[in-house]
Amino acid sequence: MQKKQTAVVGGSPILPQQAPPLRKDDELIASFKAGDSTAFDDLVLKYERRVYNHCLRMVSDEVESYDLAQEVFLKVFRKIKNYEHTYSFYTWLYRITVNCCIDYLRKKRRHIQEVSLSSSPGEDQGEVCKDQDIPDLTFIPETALVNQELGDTLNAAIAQLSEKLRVIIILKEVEGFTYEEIAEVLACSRGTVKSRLFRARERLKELLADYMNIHRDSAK
Amino acid sequence: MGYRTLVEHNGSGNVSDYPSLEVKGMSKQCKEYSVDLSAYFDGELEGEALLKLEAHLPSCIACRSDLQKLQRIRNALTSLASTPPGKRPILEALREKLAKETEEDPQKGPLVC
Ligand SMILES: [Zn+2]
Repeated sequence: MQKKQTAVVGGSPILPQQAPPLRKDDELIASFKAGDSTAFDDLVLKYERRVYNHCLRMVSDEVESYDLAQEVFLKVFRKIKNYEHTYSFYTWLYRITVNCCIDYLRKKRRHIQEVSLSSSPGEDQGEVCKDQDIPDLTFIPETALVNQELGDTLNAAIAQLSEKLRVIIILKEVEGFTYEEIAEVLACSRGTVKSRLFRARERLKELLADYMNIHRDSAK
Repeated sequence: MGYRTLVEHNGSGNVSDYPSLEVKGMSKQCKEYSVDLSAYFDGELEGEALLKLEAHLPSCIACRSDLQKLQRIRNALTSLASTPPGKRPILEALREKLAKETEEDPQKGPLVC
């Protein structure tokens, strides 16, 4: 399992020493605006994994998250000429990512409501049960299965949070953003960040009560 | 004093190490602190609120136990694996999409602003 990425603030993840130095976001944006299309490629390569994983935590669907990540970068591509340095590129990118996920979830909710009103139960199952939705567990070793079980528990808990609480807990605990950065991404006040994070944690305490009792020692 | 310092200061961080402390759960006063406690855990509490909470914490087992719960949640969430995006690099799919768009509507491309 991969540990949390630290020091991602400002868009520069800590890299192994032997890796070639990456161009800074501002340099990449300036190069792209000046006509260097490889600069955009570098931005995508630098952030695709983080954007994809944020989408995955938000929508819990690998295929949809892949499409959403593409949509995010398409928007970045189209909007980057208007990007102002009021916020860091990293914050701006997350703002687009969060909005894409929320839009998707709203559309999905509307669609589910429409389907449930217009069709009989089971009718839509052909669409839902795509091949990609069924994980292949055949060759996963036992330890990985245990970790997977924990991952499933956590992801299920995250999925049960409301969108507002979900996004804030992901930005804080998974991405490691500060309150100020979260406030920028969500265009809300620091006070709102503080109170929503509290509510998200209260809800998670309830949802993960069993897990927390088993892992009492892990806080040391 | 931050959350880390507090846990270290208290040795093992095991709440049962403090026999003199009240163990009846959160009092009304503690509930008033709970939002601040979450911000304190993040190192985001400042000013008077920080001073008040820091004065309260050493004598309150319930709040310290709550801090440990927050840490357990954090430990769990940070252990979540980050997965690579699908079988095919996003960049590849993106290039195709942009090329197709440019073909259909040359106004939109090429890959330069
Ligand atoms: Zn207390």
